[in-house]
Amino acid sequence: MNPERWERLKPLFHGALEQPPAARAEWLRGACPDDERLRHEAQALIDAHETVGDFLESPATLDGDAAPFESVPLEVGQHVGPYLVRGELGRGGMGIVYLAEDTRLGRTVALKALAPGVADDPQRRERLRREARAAAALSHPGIAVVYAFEEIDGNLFIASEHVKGRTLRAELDKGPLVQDPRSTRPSISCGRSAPHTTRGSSIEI
Amino acid sequence: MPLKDSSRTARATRCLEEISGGNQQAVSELMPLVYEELRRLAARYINRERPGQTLQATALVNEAFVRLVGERARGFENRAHFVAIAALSMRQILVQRARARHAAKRGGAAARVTLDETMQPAEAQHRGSSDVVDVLVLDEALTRLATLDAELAKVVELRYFGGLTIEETAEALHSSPATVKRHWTMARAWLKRELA
Repeated sequence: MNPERWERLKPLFHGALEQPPAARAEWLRGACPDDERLRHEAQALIDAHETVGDFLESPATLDGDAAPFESVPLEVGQHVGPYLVRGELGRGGMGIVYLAEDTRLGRTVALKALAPGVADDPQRRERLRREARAAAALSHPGIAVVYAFEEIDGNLFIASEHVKGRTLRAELDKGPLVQDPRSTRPSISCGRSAPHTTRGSSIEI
Repeated sequence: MPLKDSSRTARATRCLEEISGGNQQAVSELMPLVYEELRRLAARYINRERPGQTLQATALVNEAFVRLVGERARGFENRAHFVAIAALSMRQILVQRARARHAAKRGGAAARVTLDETMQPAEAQHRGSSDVVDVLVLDEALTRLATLDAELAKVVELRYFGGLTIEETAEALHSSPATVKRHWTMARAWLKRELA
């Protein structure tokens, strides 16, 4: 079949359908006497039509079993629960950190989510949960405050204090972190400074 | 970088109005917005659904329309053009999902076959075999149909993946309901044969 033959097939198909079912084969012989193959094509289509039933009449469905559905990164301007995404602060293999606004309290937060490819991975979800709990248990000027651990539309988020500052990379690019032992500690955006805690934990946020 | 809160809906609405006004270039701008919105909604519903439950693609398309276009441009015409774009995205999403599932079944998943999984074919039979359409086979057949008659393939895409009525399909394709009906009849017969 090619588009040309298809164009010739169309009037045969529709013309035959205007006939009563019993008269269709006879009509086809009259309408297409010299191309037996095309006539057979038309007859096969008519046979299919006569048994088509409700084939394709109900639109497609998605089934709920199945492979986890990979989510997509959030977009600037998108609402996630009470949070409004303002931008992206950074991303790594494990997660993406967004700059967002908590619209209930009108404050800016850092919103950490799992990376789209691993958002449904139970182990990663558990790790994020543990990370949130561990960070929330700590109180130190060098550690960003965890405001909330949220599950929104099936996705997990850590909402934490957004600390403005330069990245560790930017600091390192400038040269050695401590040139003069009396100088102050550098400010780093992923925490305010190296965390020193009684439990000795180090938190990645 | 921060954009206005309404940026996505504003963009979607503007694109839709341009498309309704005949500017087909706006389609390529609207397409990724619609695709992402549908994926997001699908992910949300699917991750929430229990195994075995199904979700109408049409319901997702409708929700995407309401969320992206909001109150602003809900006309019969705008809806038809939106769904025309959403139907293509829906088709892609369903095909990707089906492929992922096939891949999972082929690779190493044999050891993880559960009772539920082994019972699926029987369940599918109960639902009546005519209802169960293999999306991958349909997608390939539709691609072949498009090489013969692009208009027919489009009608199927809009009706099956977008859930549009005959009238809405006619609006989206700038055609008449009578023509769409003829296309639909012939496309179904042809696909029925291809999928037999």
